Amino acid sequence: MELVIDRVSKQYKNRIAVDRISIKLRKGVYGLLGENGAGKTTLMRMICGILKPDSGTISFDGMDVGEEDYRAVLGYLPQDFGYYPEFTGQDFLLYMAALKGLSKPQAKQKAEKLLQLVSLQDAAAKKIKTYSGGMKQRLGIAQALLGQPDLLVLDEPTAGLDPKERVRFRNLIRDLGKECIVLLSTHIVSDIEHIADTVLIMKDGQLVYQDQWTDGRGSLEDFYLQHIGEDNKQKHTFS
Amino acid sequence: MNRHLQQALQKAYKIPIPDQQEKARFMRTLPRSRISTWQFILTQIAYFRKWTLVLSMLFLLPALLGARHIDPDTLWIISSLIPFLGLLAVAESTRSAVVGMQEFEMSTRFSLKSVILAKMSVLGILDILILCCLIPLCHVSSNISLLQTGLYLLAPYLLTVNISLCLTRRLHSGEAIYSCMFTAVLVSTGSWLLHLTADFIYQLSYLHWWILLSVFLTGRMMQEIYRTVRQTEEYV
Repeated sequence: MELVIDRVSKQYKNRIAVDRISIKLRKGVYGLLGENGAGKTTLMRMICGILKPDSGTISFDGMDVGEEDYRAVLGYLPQDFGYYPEFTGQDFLLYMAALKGLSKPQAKQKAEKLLQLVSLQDAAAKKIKTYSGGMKQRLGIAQALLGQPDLLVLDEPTAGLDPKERVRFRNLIRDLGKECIVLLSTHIVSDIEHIADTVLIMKDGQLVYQDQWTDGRGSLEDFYLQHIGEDNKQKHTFS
Repeated sequence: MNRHLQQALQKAYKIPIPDQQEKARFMRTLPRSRISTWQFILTQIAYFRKWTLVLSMLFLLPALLGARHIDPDTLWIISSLIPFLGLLAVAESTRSAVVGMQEFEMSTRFSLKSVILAKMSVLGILDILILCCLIPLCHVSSNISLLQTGLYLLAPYLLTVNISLCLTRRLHSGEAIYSCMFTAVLVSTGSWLLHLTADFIYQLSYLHWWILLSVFLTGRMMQEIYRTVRQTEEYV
Protein backbone atom coordinates (compact mmCIF):
# COMPACT_ATOMS: atom_id res chain seq x y z
CA MET A 1 0.00 0.00 0.00
CA GLU A 2 1.81 3.09 -1.23
CA LEU A 3 0.74 6.51 -2.45
CA VAL A 4 3.39 8.09 -4.63
CA ILE A 5 3.29 11.82 -5.27
CA ASP A 6 6.00 12.66 -7.77
CA ARG A 7 7.02 16.27 -8.51
CA VAL A 8 3.44 17.52 -8.46
CA SER A 9 2.76 21.19 -9.23
CA LYS A 10 -0.35 23.29 -9.65
CA GLN A 11 -0.56 26.90 -10.67
CA TYR A 12 -3.52 29.31 -10.61
CA LYS A 13 -2.85 32.19 -13.01
CA ASN A 14 0.20 33.90 -11.46
CA ARG A 15 0.23 31.99 -8.18
CA ILE A 16 1.89 28.62 -7.63
CA ALA A 17 -0.39 26.77 -5.24
CA VAL A 18 1.63 23.54 -5.11
CA ASP A 19 5.27 23.57 -6.07
CA ARG A 20 7.00 20.32 -7.11
CA ILE A 21 5.95 18.19 -4.16
CA SER A 22 7.32 14.65 -3.99
CA ILE A 23 6.47 12.23 -1.21
CA LYS A 24 5.69 8.56 -0.64
CA LEU A 25 2.99 7.69 1.86
CA ARG A 26 2.57 4.23 3.38
CA LYS A 27 0.12 2.88 5.96
CA GLY A 28 -0.29 5.36 8.81
CA VAL A 29 -1.68 8.75 9.74
CA TYR A 30 -0.12 11.80 8.09
CA GLY A 31 -0.95 15.21 9.52
CA LEU A 32 -0.72 18.08 7.09
CA LEU A 33 -0.15 21.51 8.61
CA GLY A 34 0.18 24.89 6.99
CA GLU A 35 -1.24 28.37 6.94
CA ASN A 36 -4.29 29.36 4.93
CA GLY A 37 -3.23 29.44 1.28
CA ALA A 38 -0.20 27.20 1.83
CA GLY A 39 -1.58 24.74 -0.74
CA LYS A 40 -2.93 22.02 1.58
CA THR A 41 -6.40 21.83 0.08
CA THR A 42 -5.05 22.05 -3.49
CA LEU A 43 -2.70 19.14 -2.78
CA MET A 44 -5.51 17.13 -1.21
CA ARG A 45 -7.84 17.85 -4.12
CA MET A 46 -5.16 16.67 -6.52
CA ILE A 47 -4.69 13.47 -4.51
CA CYS A 48 -8.44 12.91 -4.78
CA GLY A 49 -8.47 13.46 -8.55
CA ILE A 50 -10.59 16.60 -8.35
CA LEU A 51 -7.81 18.79 -9.71
CA LYS A 52 -5.35 17.70 -12.35
CA PRO A 53 -1.72 18.59 -11.62
CA ASP A 54 -0.05 20.88 -14.15
CA SER A 55 2.95 18.59 -13.90
CA GLY A 56 3.94 15.47 -11.99
CA THR A 57 2.10 12.27 -11.21
CA ILE A 58 0.07 10.78 -8.37
CA SER A 59 -0.44 7.03 -8.11
CA PHE A 60 -1.61 4.50 -5.57
CA ASP A 61 -0.13 1.00 -5.88
CA GLY A 62 0.58 1.71 -9.53
CA MET A 63 -2.91 3.05 -10.30
CA ASP A 64 -2.95 6.57 -11.68
CA VAL A 65 -5.13 9.16 -9.92
CA GLY A 66 -7.30 9.53 -13.04
CA GLU A 67 -8.27 5.85 -13.06
CA GLU A 68 -11.58 4.51 -11.81
CA ASP A 69 -9.79 1.85 -9.73
CA TYR A 70 -7.88 4.55 -7.87
CA ARG A 71 -11.10 6.33 -6.92
CA ALA A 72 -12.62 3.03 -5.83
CA VAL A 73 -10.10 2.80 -2.97
CA LEU A 74 -10.40 6.45 -2.01
CA GLY A 75 -12.37 8.05 0.82
CA TYR A 76 -12.54 11.84 0.88
CA LEU A 77 -13.96 14.40 3.27
CA PRO A 78 -13.85 17.88 1.73
CA GLN A 79 -13.49 21.04 3.77
CA ASP A 80 -16.72 22.57 2.48
CA PHE A 81 -19.53 20.53 1.13
CA GLY A 82 -23.23 20.65 0.38
CA TYR A 83 -25.92 18.00 0.08
CA TYR A 84 -29.20 17.50 -1.71
CA PRO A 85 -31.72 19.19 0.62
CA GLU A 86 -34.35 16.46 0.34
CA PHE A 87 -31.89 13.78 1.49
CA THR A 88 -32.02 12.16 4.90
CA GLY A 89 -28.76 11.04 6.51
CA GLN A 90 -29.40 7.50 5.34
CA ASP A 91 -30.32 8.59 1.78
CA PHE A 92 -27.07 10.51 1.61
CA LEU A 93 -24.98 7.50 2.60
CA LEU A 94 -26.87 5.20 0.21
CA TYR A 95 -26.41 7.71 -2.60
CA MET A 96 -22.68 8.00 -1.92
CA ALA A 97 -22.44 4.20 -1.67
CA ALA A 98 -24.00 3.93 -5.15
CA LEU A 99 -21.43 6.40 -6.49
CA LYS A 100 -18.71 4.30 -4.88
CA GLY A 101 -20.10 1.27 -6.70
CA LEU A 102 -21.49 -0.64 -3.70
CA SER A 103 -24.45 -2.94 -4.30
CA LYS A 104 -27.72 -2.03 -2.55
CA PRO A 105 -27.60 -4.72 0.19
CA GLN A 106 -23.94 -3.94 0.87
CA ALA A 107 -24.71 -0.22 0.95
CA LYS A 108 -27.59 -0.63 3.40
CA GLN A 109 -25.52 -2.76 5.74
CA LYS A 110 -22.52 -0.43 5.59
CA ALA A 111 -24.65 2.72 5.99
CA GLU A 112 -26.29 1.31 9.09
CA LYS A 113 -22.93 0.47 10.67
CA LEU A 114 -21.42 3.83 9.82
CA LEU A 115 -24.39 5.76 11.13
CA GLN A 116 -23.92 3.91 14.37
CA LEU A 117 -20.19 4.61 14.35
CA VAL A 118 -20.77 8.35 14.04
CA SER A 119 -23.69 8.28 16.53
CA LEU A 120 -26.27 9.34 13.96
CA GLN A 121 -28.44 6.22 14.03
CA ASP A 122 -31.30 8.11 15.72
CA ALA A 123 -31.13 10.92 13.18
CA ALA A 124 -30.73 8.63 10.13
CA ALA A 125 -34.29 9.22 8.92
CA LYS A 126 -34.17 12.99 9.49
CA LYS A 127 -33.43 15.40 6.65
CA ILE A 128 -29.85 16.69 6.56
CA LYS A 129 -31.10 20.28 6.49
CA THR A 130 -32.25 19.77 10.09
CA TYR A 131 -28.76 18.59 11.18
CA SER A 132 -26.38 20.74 13.19
CA GLY A 133 -22.90 21.58 11.82
CA GLY A 134 -21.30 18.82 13.90
CA MET A 135 -23.85 16.25 12.72
CA LYS A 136 -23.19 17.17 9.09
CA GLN A 137 -19.47 16.82 9.69
CA ARG A 138 -19.99 13.38 11.24
CA LEU A 139 -22.09 12.37 8.25
CA GLY A 140 -19.29 13.58 5.99
CA ILE A 141 -16.82 11.40 7.89
CA ALA A 142 -19.19 8.43 7.59
CA GLN A 143 -19.41 8.77 3.79
CA ALA A 144 -15.62 8.91 3.56
CA LEU A 145 -15.48 5.50 5.25
CA LEU A 146 -17.92 3.84 2.84
CA GLY A 147 -16.41 1.05 0.76
CA GLN A 148 -13.44 0.36 3.06
CA PRO A 149 -11.04 2.92 1.58
CA ASP A 150 -7.32 2.18 1.43
CA LEU A 151 -6.59 5.87 1.07
CA LEU A 152 -8.43 8.31 3.29
CA VAL A 153 -8.10 12.05 2.71
CA LEU A 154 -9.69 14.22 5.38
CA ASP A 155 -9.72 17.99 5.08
CA GLU A 156 -10.44 19.52 8.50
CA PRO A 157 -12.26 16.41 9.81
CA THR A 158 -12.72 17.65 13.38
CA ALA A 159 -14.02 21.12 12.45
CA GLY A 160 -17.38 21.74 14.11
CA LEU A 161 -17.18 18.74 16.42
CA ASP A 162 -17.59 19.15 20.17
CA PRO A 163 -14.55 18.24 22.33
CA LYS A 164 -15.93 14.80 23.25
CA GLU A 165 -16.62 13.92 19.62
CA ARG A 166 -13.23 15.28 18.60
CA VAL A 167 -11.46 12.89 20.95
CA ARG A 168 -13.62 10.03 19.68
CA PHE A 169 -12.76 10.83 16.07
CA ARG A 170 -9.10 11.21 16.85
CA ASN A 171 -9.14 7.64 18.16
CA LEU A 172 -11.10 6.45 15.16
CA ILE A 173 -8.63 8.06 12.75
CA ARG A 174 -5.72 6.55 14.69
CA ASP A 175 -7.29 3.08 14.36
CA LEU A 176 -7.93 3.63 10.64
CA GLY A 177 -4.26 4.52 10.21
CA LYS A 178 -3.33 0.98 11.19
CA GLU A 179 -5.17 -0.37 8.14
CA CYS A 180 -4.82 2.33 5.51
CA ILE A 181 -3.16 5.59 4.53
CA VAL A 182 -4.82 8.54 6.25
CA LEU A 183 -3.90 12.05 5.20
CA LEU A 184 -5.53 14.73 7.29
CA SER A 185 -5.26 18.44 7.24
CA THR A 186 -6.28 20.63 10.15
CA HIS A 187 -5.59 23.92 11.85
CA ILE A 188 -5.82 22.23 15.23
CA VAL A 189 -2.20 21.34 15.89
CA SER A 190 -3.06 19.29 18.98
CA ASP A 191 -5.19 16.94 16.83
CA ILE A 192 -2.16 16.15 14.69
CA GLU A 193 0.09 15.91 17.73
CA HIS A 194 -2.17 13.22 19.19
CA ILE A 195 -2.84 11.05 16.17
CA ALA A 196 -0.37 11.63 13.33
CA ASP A 197 2.53 9.24 12.90
CA THR A 198 4.15 11.66 10.48
CA VAL A 199 3.88 15.41 10.35
CA LEU A 200 3.96 17.28 7.05
CA ILE A 201 4.26 21.06 6.96
CA MET A 202 3.49 23.09 3.85
CA LYS A 203 4.51 26.65 3.19
CA ASP A 204 4.02 28.62 -0.04
CA GLY A 205 3.11 25.48 -1.94
CA GLN A 206 6.17 23.54 -0.83
CA LEU A 207 6.62 20.75 1.65
CA VAL A 208 9.04 22.29 4.14
CA TYR A 209 8.97 19.52 6.73
CA GLN A 210 8.19 15.82 6.81
CA ASP A 211 9.13 13.56 9.68
CA GLN A 212 7.73 11.39 12.43
CA TRP A 213 6.64 13.18 15.56
CA THR A 214 7.29 11.58 18.93
CA ASP A 215 6.17 12.74 22.37
CA GLY A 216 9.74 13.44 23.49
CA ARG A 217 10.18 16.17 20.91
CA GLY A 218 8.23 18.81 22.81
CA SER A 219 5.37 20.94 21.60
CA LEU A 220 4.42 20.50 17.95
CA GLU A 221 2.71 23.89 18.00
CA ASP A 222 5.98 25.70 18.88
CA PHE A 223 7.84 23.68 16.28
CA TYR A 224 5.19 24.47 13.68
CA LEU A 225 5.29 28.20 14.43
CA GLN A 226 9.07 28.16 14.08
CA HIS A 227 8.78 26.47 10.72
CA ILE A 228 6.26 28.81 9.18
CA GLY A 229 8.50 31.76 9.91
CA GLU A 230 8.89 34.68 12.26
CA ASP A 231 6.44 36.97 10.42
CA ASN A 232 3.73 34.39 10.58
CA LYS A 233 4.57 33.59 14.18
CA GLN A 234 3.66 37.15 15.08
CA LYS A 235 0.49 36.87 13.05
CA HIS A 236 -0.50 33.71 14.94
CA THR A 237 0.36 35.22 18.32
CA PHE A 238 -1.79 38.27 17.75
CA SER A 239 -4.74 36.45 16.18
CA MET B 1 -28.16 -32.35 13.62
CA ASN B 2 -28.97 -34.31 16.73
CA ARG B 3 -29.84 -31.87 19.53
CA HIS B 4 -27.74 -33.73 22.11
CA LEU B 5 -24.78 -33.82 19.78
CA GLN B 6 -25.20 -30.09 19.13
CA GLN B 7 -25.22 -29.34 22.87
CA ALA B 8 -22.22 -31.59 23.45
CA LEU B 9 -20.30 -29.80 20.71
CA GLN B 10 -21.21 -26.43 22.19
CA LYS B 11 -19.87 -27.57 25.57
CA ALA B 12 -16.70 -29.06 24.12
CA TYR B 13 -15.87 -26.20 21.76
CA LYS B 14 -15.73 -22.65 22.99
CA ILE B 15 -16.47 -20.17 20.23
CA PRO B 16 -13.66 -17.58 20.14
CA ILE B 17 -14.64 -13.93 20.43
CA PRO B 18 -13.73 -12.30 17.09
CA ASP B 19 -10.97 -9.73 17.14
CA GLN B 20 -12.56 -6.69 15.47
CA GLN B 21 -9.29 -5.50 13.95
CA GLU B 22 -8.47 -8.94 12.60
CA LYS B 23 -12.00 -9.17 11.25
CA ALA B 24 -11.62 -5.80 9.51
CA ARG B 25 -8.25 -6.92 8.10
CA PHE B 26 -9.83 -10.11 6.79
CA MET B 27 -12.80 -8.25 5.29
CA ARG B 28 -10.37 -5.97 3.47
CA THR B 29 -8.80 -8.98 1.73
CA LEU B 30 -12.14 -10.14 0.32
CA PRO B 31 -12.84 -9.14 -3.29
CA ARG B 32 -15.16 -6.13 -3.41
CA SER B 33 -18.33 -6.68 -5.41
CA ARG B 34 -19.30 -3.64 -7.38
CA ILE B 35 -22.29 -2.55 -9.37
CA SER B 36 -22.07 -2.23 -13.15
CA THR B 37 -22.51 1.02 -15.06
CA TRP B 38 -26.08 0.02 -16.02
CA GLN B 39 -26.97 -0.67 -12.41
CA PHE B 40 -25.48 2.71 -11.51
CA ILE B 41 -27.63 4.49 -14.10
CA LEU B 42 -30.74 2.75 -12.74
CA THR B 43 -29.89 3.72 -9.15
CA GLN B 44 -29.68 7.35 -10.25
CA ILE B 45 -33.38 7.32 -11.19
CA ALA B 46 -34.26 6.77 -7.54
CA TYR B 47 -32.48 9.99 -6.62
CA PHE B 48 -34.27 12.28 -9.08
CA ARG B 49 -36.52 14.82 -7.45
CA LYS B 50 -40.02 13.38 -7.61
CA TRP B 51 -41.55 16.64 -8.75
CA THR B 52 -39.19 16.78 -11.76
CA LEU B 53 -40.67 13.51 -12.99
CA VAL B 54 -44.25 14.47 -12.04
CA LEU B 55 -44.04 17.91 -13.70
CA SER B 56 -42.51 16.37 -16.83
CA MET B 57 -45.41 13.92 -17.07
CA LEU B 58 -47.91 16.77 -16.52
CA PHE B 59 -46.98 18.14 -19.95
CA LEU B 60 -49.10 15.35 -21.41
CA LEU B 61 -52.25 16.67 -19.71
CA PRO B 62 -53.00 19.74 -21.92
CA ALA B 63 -52.16 17.68 -25.01
CA LEU B 64 -54.58 14.96 -23.96
CA LEU B 65 -57.32 17.54 -23.26
CA GLY B 66 -56.62 19.30 -26.57
CA ALA B 67 -56.74 16.05 -28.52
CA ARG B 68 -60.01 15.10 -26.85
CA HIS B 69 -61.70 18.40 -27.65
CA ILE B 70 -59.93 18.78 -31.06
CA ASP B 71 -58.68 22.25 -30.18
CA PRO B 72 -56.44 23.62 -33.01
CA ASP B 73 -54.58 25.85 -30.52
CA THR B 74 -53.27 22.82 -28.62
CA LEU B 75 -50.08 22.67 -30.70
CA TRP B 76 -49.28 26.33 -30.00
CA ILE B 77 -50.04 25.99 -26.29
CA ILE B 78 -47.80 22.93 -26.01
CA SER B 79 -45.13 24.57 -28.18
CA SER B 80 -44.95 27.51 -25.76
CA LEU B 81 -44.95 25.22 -22.72
CA ILE B 82 -42.29 22.83 -24.02
CA PRO B 83 -39.31 25.08 -23.08
CA PHE B 84 -40.15 24.33 -19.45
CA LEU B 85 -39.70 20.61 -20.11
CA GLY B 86 -36.17 21.41 -21.29
CA LEU B 87 -35.63 23.61 -18.24
CA LEU B 88 -36.62 20.76 -15.89
CA ALA B 89 -34.14 18.41 -17.56
CA VAL B 90 -31.23 20.87 -17.41
CA ALA B 91 -32.00 21.92 -13.82
CA GLU B 92 -32.06 18.31 -12.62
CA SER B 93 -28.93 17.30 -14.52
CA THR B 94 -26.80 20.16 -13.23
CA ARG B 95 -28.12 20.20 -9.66
CA SER B 96 -24.86 19.00 -8.05
CA ALA B 97 -23.24 22.38 -8.61
CA VAL B 98 -26.22 24.27 -7.18
CA VAL B 99 -26.24 22.37 -3.87
CA GLY B 100 -22.46 21.94 -3.62
CA MET B 101 -22.31 18.16 -3.94
CA GLN B 102 -19.69 18.16 -6.73
CA GLU B 103 -16.76 17.86 -4.35
CA PHE B 104 -18.09 14.50 -3.13
CA GLU B 105 -19.21 13.36 -6.56
CA MET B 106 -15.87 14.12 -8.18
CA SER B 107 -13.92 11.81 -5.89
CA THR B 108 -16.01 8.66 -6.20
CA ARG B 109 -15.69 5.65 -8.52
CA PHE B 110 -18.62 6.84 -10.63
CA SER B 111 -17.54 10.44 -10.72
CA LEU B 112 -19.42 13.65 -11.45
CA LYS B 113 -19.22 13.23 -15.21
CA SER B 114 -20.88 9.80 -14.87
CA VAL B 115 -23.58 11.30 -12.63
CA ILE B 116 -24.29 14.11 -15.10
CA LEU B 117 -24.25 11.77 -18.10
CA ALA B 118 -26.52 9.28 -16.32
CA LYS B 119 -29.00 12.03 -15.39
CA MET B 120 -28.93 13.57 -18.87
CA SER B 121 -29.43 10.17 -20.50
CA VAL B 122 -32.38 9.19 -18.31
CA LEU B 123 -34.07 12.59 -18.55
CA GLY B 124 -33.31 12.77 -22.29
CA ILE B 125 -35.03 9.41 -22.84
CA LEU B 126 -37.97 10.53 -20.67
CA ASP B 127 -38.31 13.76 -22.67
CA ILE B 128 -38.10 11.88 -25.98
CA LEU B 129 -40.90 9.57 -24.78
CA ILE B 130 -43.00 12.57 -23.72
CA LEU B 131 -42.38 14.24 -27.09
CA CYS B 132 -43.30 10.99 -28.84
CA CYS B 133 -46.66 11.13 -27.05
CA LEU B 134 -47.15 14.87 -27.51
CA ILE B 135 -46.48 14.93 -31.27
CA PRO B 136 -49.35 12.58 -32.31
CA LEU B 137 -51.69 14.15 -29.73
CA CYS B 138 -51.02 17.65 -31.10
CA HIS B 139 -51.23 16.32 -34.65
CA VAL B 140 -54.70 14.93 -33.97
CA SER B 141 -56.01 18.27 -32.71
CA SER B 142 -54.38 20.49 -35.37
CA ASN B 143 -54.52 20.36 -39.14
CA ILE B 144 -50.75 20.12 -39.51
CA SER B 145 -48.65 17.20 -40.69
CA LEU B 146 -46.89 14.93 -38.18
CA LEU B 147 -43.43 16.13 -39.30
CA GLN B 148 -44.33 19.81 -38.94
CA THR B 149 -45.92 19.20 -35.54
CA GLY B 150 -42.76 17.44 -34.40
CA LEU B 151 -40.51 20.25 -35.63
CA TYR B 152 -42.62 22.99 -34.02
CA LEU B 153 -42.38 21.21 -30.67
CA LEU B 154 -38.76 20.17 -30.97
CA ALA B 155 -37.30 23.57 -31.93
CA PRO B 156 -38.29 25.54 -28.77
CA TYR B 157 -37.28 22.55 -26.61
CA LEU B 158 -33.84 22.31 -28.20
CA LEU B 159 -33.34 26.08 -28.14
CA THR B 160 -34.04 26.22 -24.38
CA VAL B 161 -31.79 23.25 -23.63
CA ASN B 162 -28.96 24.75 -25.71
CA ILE B 163 -29.05 28.18 -24.08
CA SER B 164 -29.55 26.71 -20.58
CA LEU B 165 -26.58 24.35 -20.90
CA CYS B 166 -24.45 27.21 -22.14
CA LEU B 167 -25.54 29.36 -19.17
CA THR B 168 -24.89 26.63 -16.58
CA ARG B 169 -21.36 26.31 -17.94
CA ARG B 170 -20.64 30.00 -17.79
CA LEU B 171 -22.47 31.23 -14.70
CA HIS B 172 -22.32 30.32 -11.04
CA SER B 173 -24.85 27.84 -9.73
CA GLY B 174 -27.58 30.13 -8.30
CA GLU B 175 -27.37 32.70 -11.09
CA ALA B 176 -27.40 29.95 -13.71
CA ILE B 177 -30.72 28.51 -12.53
CA TYR B 178 -32.45 31.91 -12.57
CA SER B 179 -30.96 32.62 -16.01
CA CYS B 180 -32.24 29.27 -17.28
CA MET B 181 -35.73 30.09 -15.93
CA PHE B 182 -35.59 33.45 -17.69
CA THR B 183 -34.51 31.70 -20.91
CA ALA B 184 -37.43 29.28 -20.72
CA VAL B 185 -39.88 32.16 -20.18
CA LEU B 186 -38.31 34.06 -23.08
CA VAL B 187 -38.45 31.12 -25.50
CA SER B 188 -41.97 30.30 -24.39
CA THR B 189 -43.20 33.88 -24.90
CA GLY B 190 -41.31 34.12 -28.19
CA SER B 191 -42.88 30.93 -29.44
CA TRP B 192 -46.38 32.19 -28.64
CA LEU B 193 -45.75 35.65 -30.10
CA LEU B 194 -44.33 34.12 -33.27
CA HIS B 195 -47.51 32.13 -33.71
CA LEU B 196 -49.62 35.29 -33.24
CA THR B 197 -47.59 37.76 -35.31
CA ALA B 198 -45.63 35.76 -37.90
CA ASP B 199 -47.93 32.87 -38.67
CA PHE B 200 -46.53 32.59 -42.23
CA ILE B 201 -43.31 30.89 -40.99
CA TYR B 202 -45.39 27.87 -40.08
CA GLN B 203 -46.46 27.37 -43.69
CA LEU B 204 -45.25 24.32 -45.64
CA SER B 205 -42.91 26.49 -47.77
CA TYR B 206 -40.77 27.14 -44.69
CA LEU B 207 -40.53 23.48 -43.70
CA HIS B 208 -36.92 23.08 -44.89
CA TRP B 209 -35.87 25.99 -42.62
CA TRP B 210 -37.46 24.26 -39.62
CA ILE B 211 -35.69 21.02 -40.51
CA LEU B 212 -32.37 22.86 -40.80
CA LEU B 213 -32.96 24.68 -37.52
CA SER B 214 -33.78 21.44 -35.68
CA VAL B 215 -30.74 19.62 -37.09
CA PHE B 216 -28.50 22.57 -36.19
CA LEU B 217 -29.90 22.79 -32.64
CA THR B 218 -29.53 19.02 -32.15
CA GLY B 219 -25.88 19.23 -33.21
CA ARG B 220 -25.31 22.22 -30.94
CA MET B 221 -26.96 20.40 -28.03
CA MET B 222 -24.56 17.46 -28.44
CA GLN B 223 -21.68 19.92 -28.45
CA GLU B 224 -23.04 21.69 -25.34
CA ILE B 225 -23.43 18.35 -23.50
CA TYR B 226 -19.84 17.45 -24.40
CA ARG B 227 -18.56 20.84 -23.21
CA THR B 228 -20.60 20.64 -19.99
CA VAL B 229 -19.19 17.20 -19.17
CA ARG B 230 -15.65 18.30 -20.04
CA GLN B 231 -15.93 21.34 -17.82
CA THR B 232 -17.21 19.44 -14.77
CA GLU B 233 -13.91 17.68 -14.15
CA GLU B 234 -10.32 18.24 -15.03
CA TYR B 235 -9.94 14.49 -15.54
CA VAL B 236 -12.25 13.78 -18.49
